[in-house]
This record gives sequence, structure tokens and C-alpha cells, in this order.
Amino acid sequence: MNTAKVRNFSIIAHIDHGKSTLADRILELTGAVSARDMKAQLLDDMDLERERGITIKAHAVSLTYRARDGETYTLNLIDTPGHVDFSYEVSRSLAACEGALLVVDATQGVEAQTLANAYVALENDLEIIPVINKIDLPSADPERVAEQIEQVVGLPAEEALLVSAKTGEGVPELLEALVARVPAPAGGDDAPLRAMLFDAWYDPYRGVCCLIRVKEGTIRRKQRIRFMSTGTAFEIEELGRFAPKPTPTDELRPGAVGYMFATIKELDQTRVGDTITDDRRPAQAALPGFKEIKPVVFAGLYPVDSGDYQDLRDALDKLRLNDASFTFEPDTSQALGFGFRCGYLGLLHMEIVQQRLEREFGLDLITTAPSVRYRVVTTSGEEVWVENPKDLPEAGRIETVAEPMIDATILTHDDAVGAILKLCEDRRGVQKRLEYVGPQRVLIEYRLPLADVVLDFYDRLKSVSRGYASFDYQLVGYEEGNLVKLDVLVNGEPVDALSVIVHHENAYRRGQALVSKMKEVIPRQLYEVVIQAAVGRRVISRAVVKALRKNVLAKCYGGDVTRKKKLLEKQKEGKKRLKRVGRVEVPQEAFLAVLKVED
Amino acid sequence: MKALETELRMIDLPAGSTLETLYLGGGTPSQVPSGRLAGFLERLTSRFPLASSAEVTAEANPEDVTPALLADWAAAGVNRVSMGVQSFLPLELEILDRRHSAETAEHSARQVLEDEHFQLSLDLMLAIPRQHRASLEKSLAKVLEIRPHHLSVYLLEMDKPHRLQALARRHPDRFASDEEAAGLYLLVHETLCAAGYEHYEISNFALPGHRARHNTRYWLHLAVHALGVAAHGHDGNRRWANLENLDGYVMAVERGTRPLAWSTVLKPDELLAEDVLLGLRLARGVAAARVAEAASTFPGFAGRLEEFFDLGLAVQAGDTVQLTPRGWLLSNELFQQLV
Repeated sequence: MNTAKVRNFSIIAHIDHGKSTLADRILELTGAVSARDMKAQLLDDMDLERERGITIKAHAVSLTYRARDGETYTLNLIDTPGHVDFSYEVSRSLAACEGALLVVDATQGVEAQTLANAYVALENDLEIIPVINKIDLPSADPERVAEQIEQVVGLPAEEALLVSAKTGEGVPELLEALVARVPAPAGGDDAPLRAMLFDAWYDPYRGVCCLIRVKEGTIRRKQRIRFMSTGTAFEIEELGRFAPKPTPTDELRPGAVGYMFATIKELDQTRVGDTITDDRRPAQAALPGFKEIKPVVFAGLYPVDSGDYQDLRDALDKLRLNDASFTFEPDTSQALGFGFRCGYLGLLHMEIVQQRLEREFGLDLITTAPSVRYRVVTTSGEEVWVENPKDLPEAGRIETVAEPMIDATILTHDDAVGAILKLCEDRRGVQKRLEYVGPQRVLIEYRLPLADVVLDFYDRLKSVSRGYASFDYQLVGYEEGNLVKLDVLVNGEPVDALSVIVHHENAYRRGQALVSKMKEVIPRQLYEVVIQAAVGRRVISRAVVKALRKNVLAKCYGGDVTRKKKLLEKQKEGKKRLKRVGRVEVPQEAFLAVLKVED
Repeated sequence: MKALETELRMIDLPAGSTLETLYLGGGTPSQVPSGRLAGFLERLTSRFPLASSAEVTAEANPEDVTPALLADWAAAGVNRVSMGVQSFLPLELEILDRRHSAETAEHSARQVLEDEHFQLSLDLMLAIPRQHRASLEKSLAKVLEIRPHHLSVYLLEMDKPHRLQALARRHPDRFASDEEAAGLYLLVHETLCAAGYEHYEISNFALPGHRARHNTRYWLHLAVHALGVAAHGHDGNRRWANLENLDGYVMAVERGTRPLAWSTVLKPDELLAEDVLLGLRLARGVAAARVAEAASTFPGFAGRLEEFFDLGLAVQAGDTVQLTPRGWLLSNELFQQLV
């Protein structure tokens, strides 16, 4: 294969801007699959997914394209996860390419995800081809969108291609532009092997499947390779390409994109972004850009029925086979019993995992409020990482606490700007940029503490912008702050699962909001319930749920007994989801109250 | 009435059994021409004779009570009249959409009492929208003036479809809070007990010697046979109910089959639970041994009962366990643990 005739590219787009339709059209035009096969292929995958209970991850497809210059090119289309929490994975997928199609909806314009991904593509020195999609729609305004792309992303408006992935209009020109504008991969055949792993998943029959991009040297079947970050070595069992069906091959040369099965049994043994080299003739240095990804959001996960603990553990084990970025370890809470402290890449990642646990494994779960990882330096100079608020050392032992910060990018209609700025300011944000990027379209950038985003920032943003604002973020490191632990006490007993770490300035307000929310959700019971919020020993807010006075069935004669018993059963059923803290029965909702507190 | 008479022939009770109590209710016997009612009673008692001391109750609407009706009833053997008065205040009766006036209620009650042949029981309603302590005190003053033998006092319950539900949605503020309702209940308890009534069941008060013997059979789990649409009966550990639909009921009876909707045999655990649940509704309570049995069968009950003792909602008197009036108000919290 001639490297000069290879083009590696990704399609980057905001959700619903037409990425998959465009990919389908490209597959069809390059004859990789007929429309009928495409459907069949899709169904195959879904059956597989159902049968094996795994998610078929994005493919990297190799396509053969005969260009108008008469030459035949290999186009490798590399998919990227369309998910804000996976920005590192996106960056590695893009690093496997030389070019990217930046797809923007002609009716919607540039959105936050478009922008975030475009920045990543620029950082990786990709050739970006702006593509304005959905030009067939009556409300399409390609000129305005082209101007926006020029203003916000800095790509010349006249370079934008106009297409309709739906009708196929402009797609042949797009393929020509790919060939003409995306550079061919560089890299010598004979250099020591350096290939990048940009995606991996677990296949229950074959072990771990790695998607790789060869940068330098040649990778061969039976070769003993080594992951440079971990130093572990494996033997390659199968190499191949997706054309688009998996097609084994003996070797992959520089510029090639394909898959690899080696003697890797667990997903945990692979790291996205890692460099694969020859075990006997290793490269001097790894490819740039590798990062060890670590969970940034943590939350407790408890079975509603404590008898489901083992089922939950099994489900978590199974999920982790397919998602090594998610972590869990056993944890206990006085109120919630035995459960796990789980780590996620972000809030959406957390939601996905929790939904899968409930839907695919049929588990009833209680989730505690998400927290982030704090870096605490104690008075004795020791550095401690705190992922669970209950583990925060007492105030007297803390020298400093630092929390993770993010840079958030928000694109919105201009009438929501005021509300969004207020939201960001309330969340301790510092404005970095505010710019009109078109009539009525505003780009807002804020530096925000992650902790204040994981609570309910997305929901609030959606509601204040009536769903129009788009949001993306990147982690940018740690900053020290005056952070304290806010405890919630029920009848004097601290409820460990309800503790949160908050900024000193917000403690009072948060404490009050939390206490009044708790008062709302805790039902009246035989005993009076006193709810307190406290920082250390200082109580900052207090509310009382008065003792229940009346729950009685006045009439109860012969005919009524059966009906009354049903009523009692219903009442009892309603209490099933209550957890006991001392003598107080606390509903699950209370554990989510921390999330729903309106500032 | 015809179907009722036919059903009478199917009843699962040896002919000649004597009846200790008889209760004509769950509709309005006072709307039935007294001749027909007397005819029915005659048929009934010819098959199942009344014990000499039998309590025979009939329910009456206040507006239906006339000297003639009472004379007919007395002749037919009725010796206790239960009247749904609900309140003695015009505004409250209007909210409850009752056809009788406060004057009619009082007049009818006095008429019943004038005939020494009858015992009188009145129903009162608590927590009527816009009812408050002062208005309840007025109703109670009237009650004590009339001094019926027996009183049933029911807290308004909204758990089944009720014509007040629409009002509750529109004007929840007009309904008593749980606190206020509990306050009214305790006010009734104090007032009536001070006037010599016994608060012998959650919702029932009686002058000494005048408890409702028929209803007490339910609470003590004694056999009760029942006739009519939607009627419920029980005997030992068996419990049954008739069809709730009038047409269905009549058709079944005409076919010559018993009009049963369901019939079930209680398991020992269920029987135990009902014994305790019903028994604790009574002031006399339940034998401590039986309660202990329930506590070991239903672990949640043991813990909750402990809390009831702790809060003075339950007491042990000799070898019985009893609920206090405050305990009665919260009794569902305990009874939930028995289902």
C-alpha cells in the first residue's frame, strides 16, 4: 500500500448535526456497502449487542475510493465518541488522523461541541474541512453559518463545503476535497514501530480488540508488541482492517488504521492514547499526547434492597469489562449500608452507567450526590486525595484544599446570556470570554470549579436557555479554595451519605437550601425529626419535621377489613424505599436532595 | 328485597340457629316501605329465631323518621336505630350535601328516644371542611343535650372516591390539617368521656351497657353472616363478600346460586394479624400473649410497638396491651407492620 494514497480523517460535529448520516452516505458512495447491506450490517451489530450484552463501539472503517484523478485512494474514517465527558478519547481519535470534516448544521450554526472538537483538531494539527450540512432544509442559512465558522473557529468561509447528507448533494465533491486537502500520512516503514491505540473494547469471545493507527514502522501478525506506558508485552494474534467487515491482514504499515487482537484478556490492560512498539526493538520515545485518564466525578451507589449487593457487584464487574474508565470500590454508609464508591469521567458518563445498571441489570439503586477529587495538604505536609466528602480531614488538620477546575464553553442565543452569566457567577465562575459570533449568537467561556458543575449545572443551563445553549468543557487543573465540609444531621446523627464539600461563602446558603429541601421530602413520622446543617460543630441551619399526629382508619367493620388491609399494604409499600437513620426513616429522595437544591 | 329473600334461603347456616344481633344497614332501610321490611324480618326470624335479648339495629335517614315508621319498626322487632346525623350545624350539613336540616336531625333523634323501646346511635363526622373546634363544640353540646346511647364519630376519609375530592383539589385550605383533625378527635374524646361515655373503640362511644353488640362482633372476630349486594361475612377463618353490582347480584340469586364475589380462608398468620389489628381498635385491647405472638411473627411490628410504648401511644394494662387515644390516631403506623 502506498502511503501517499491514504487519507485518515474523522467527522466532528455537534450532536444531531448529521454526522452519522454523512458517514452512511460516504460508505455508500465509496461502494463499501450497498444501502441494503448497510441495514443488514447494522442489524447484525444490534443482534450481537443483544446477544452478548455489550456495546459495539465506534469502528474505524477503511474505504476504497477511485478519485477523479484516476487514482485509487484508501480513506480511513475514524469515528469519535460524541460525548462531552470523553474529550480525551476524542483527542486520541483525532490524533490518529491527518484531517477532519467539521460538520455544522446549516439551520443551527456552530455549537459548543463543534467548537470544542475543532479546537482539539487544531491542537493536533489536523487539516479541517468545514462542511455545512442540511442545505436541503428550507430554513438553511449556509452563508451565515460559513461566516460563523470563520469568526469562531477561524476557518475561511469560502473553504466550507455545502452538502446535504440526506440527499447526497455535495458529497462527491466532499470526497474529492478529502483527497485534495487532507495530507497523506508521513512515517517510514523501517523505523522502530510506533502505533497509537485510540480505542479498545472487550469482546467476550476474542478478548480485547484494539483500534490502532500505525505512525511509524510496520506491525505484523505474531509480532511481540509492548505498550509503552505500562511496559507490558503481548503477542499479536490477529491484525486486520474494517472494510467495513473485519478483514484479517498480515501487516499494517505507516498511515494504516486497523484492529488488533493480542493476548490481552482485560480491557484494564490497555490505555487509550498509549504507544504500541516492538518488544524486541522498541522506539526511543512514545508518541506525544498520552494521558492516564482518571475518573473526575465520584458518587456512592447503593442497592435499595441491601440483598442486591452481590448482584450490584456482579453488574459493576460486567460493565467494567466494557468501560475501563469507570471505577468502583466497596464503600459503606451508616444510612445506606453496603455499596460502592464509583468514579466517572463526568456527569453524563455517570448517568449512562447508572442507567445501564438499572435497565440492563434491573437493579434499584440509590445514588448519592456526586463529588470531585479534592487535593488536601494537611498541616503535617502530607498530600491526601479526597473523593468522598466524609473522608475530608477535620478542619484543624487541613493546610489547604484544592479543587479541580474546568474551562467551559457555552454557545447560546443572546436572550439567555443574562441568565447564563448569573448561573456561572453563582457557581463561582470567572468569565474568560464573551463574544457575539453572529447576530443573536453568543460564545461564553468561563472557568468554573468542577464541583459546582457536577451538581446540576447541565439541567440549570438547559432550563435557563430553554434548551438552546450548548455546553462543552475541559479540565484545566487544580486551584486552592476556602472549602469546607457541610454535614447534614438528622436528630443529631450525621448522615454520612449527605455530606458535601462546599465553598465557605456558599456554606450558609447551601445549608439552608439543603435543610429546607430535606424538610420537604422527609415524611412526618412518630417522632419529631430535627434536621440540621453544620460546618464542623457550628450549626448553620435547622428545620423541624413535626411528629405525625394522625394516620388512622376511622371506620372498620366487617366489609371494610379487606379494603383497609389493602390500604395499609399500600402505605407500607410506600415506605419500602425509606432508609433508617437512627429512628428516622429517610426517603431516597433525600439523598438526591443535595442535587436538586436550587441556589 | 325479593332477591334478598331468595338469598336468605341459601345462607350457610343451619336453620333454627338463633341470632344474637341483627343489623339492617348499608343502604337505607328507612327508605324501604315498612311493610316489606317487616315481611322480610318475619321470614328471616322464622328461619333463624332471634335470641330473647337480641340487638336489632336499623339505619335511618333523619328525614325519614316518623312516628308511624318507628311504630312499624318496633312492631317488627327493631330495637336500635342508627342515624347518620354527621353534624348539628347547617353550614357543615350543606358542605356534606345532606338532605336533612339540623332541626330535623334533632327532632328525629328525640322522637326515637321518646320511645323507650329503642336505643339510639348517632353518627358524627369530624374534619368536615370549615369545621373548627368551636363549631364542633356546638355539635357536641347538642349531642349531650340529646344524649343518645351510642355515638360513632368518624374522621373524614378521602381515600375512596368522594364527592368532596373536587373541593379538596380546589380548596385544600378548607380541609383540616392532620394536626387540626387530631385536635378535634381528642376534643371529642375528652368531651364525651367527661360526660360519661366510654370511648370503647377508635370511632365509637357508648353510655355504659350500650355498646354496639353487632359491630363488636367484627372486632372480636365472631361469626357474622351477611345478605345483600356487596355484603361481607365471616365465620372463623373464612371470609367472603357478595357481588357489588346490583344486576349481577340479582341475576346470580335468581339463577339459584350464591352471589359470591369472592371467598377466602385466612391463613393462621393473617388471622393472627387481624385479631391484633382489630383487637387493638378496642379500648379493652388484646391479650399480651397474643400481641407477643404477633411480634414474633411480624418483626416490623415488634419494633414499631416498642416505639408506641416509648411514646405513650400504647400501654400495658395487666396482661393486655391497649392503644391510647393518641395511639389510635396513629394506629395505621402500627397496623402497617401487620400486613
